[in-house]
Amino acid sequence: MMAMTEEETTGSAARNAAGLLLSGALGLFLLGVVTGIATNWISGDAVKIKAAIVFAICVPLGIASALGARHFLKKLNGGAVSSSTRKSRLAVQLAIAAGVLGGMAAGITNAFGMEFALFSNAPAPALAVISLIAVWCLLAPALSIMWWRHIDEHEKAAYSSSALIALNAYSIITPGWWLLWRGGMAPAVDPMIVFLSVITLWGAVWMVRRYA
Amino acid sequence: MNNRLRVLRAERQWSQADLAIRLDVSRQAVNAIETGKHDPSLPLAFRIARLFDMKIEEIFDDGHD
Repeated sequence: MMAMTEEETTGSAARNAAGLLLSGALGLFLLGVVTGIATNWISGDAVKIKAAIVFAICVPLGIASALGARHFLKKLNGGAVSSSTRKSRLAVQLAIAAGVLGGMAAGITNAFGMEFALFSNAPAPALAVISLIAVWCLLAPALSIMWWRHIDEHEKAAYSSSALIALNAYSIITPGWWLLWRGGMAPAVDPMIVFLSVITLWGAVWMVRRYA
Repeated sequence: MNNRLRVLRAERQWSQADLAIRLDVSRQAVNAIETGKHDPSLPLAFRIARLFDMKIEEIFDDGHD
């Protein structure tokens, strides 16, 4: 096996990262569509023929997107890996799987009359809240620790510097929004919007630092 | 920091993934070190030096004599 040139490595890494982002985003979007239609089905609402066609198209496309994302991820990671890389990758994959399953479960619980939307400020059923707290406060830290213990110093540096940027973004967004609210120029601060914005920024910067 | 990692690796006909496995890091870490985007820690620099049976300063150059 001969090494690629620097330009080849950087160029193909950028292409593969872009492919991973696009196929991952498409896969998540399709998953949302499929979950929405499945929710209607389960709840017994009439599913129109158009929705059934969309469902039939979205399922194979979603599977293709997931396979595409896997393909780009494999190319990005470059074949054989060290044992610690394998373990850290397993933690990330478990976290993604838990997130996807959690998102689908949150969507489908609507079908059982729980009237629970994950990303909203509406009151939620106690059982769902307790389950989510258990997952978020136990599973997430466990996976984070497992991941952190097995990543290499380059990934740790990428994670730490992106965390610092996210923290700075948080310290700008929250007081800024709060002041706008006090001045009557914006609605009250929504903690989930702030949280999701900061987490998204954190993840995006981490990805650029790690793969670009 | 400049380094000769890419040359040393190429001399042995190792891919970045091959070197990554030998150093127990990710391929991205090897790429980042080779391209100067990441300076390795001392422990990793020692591992690299040991792997190539060289001194650290024979591989890494901070630009000062």
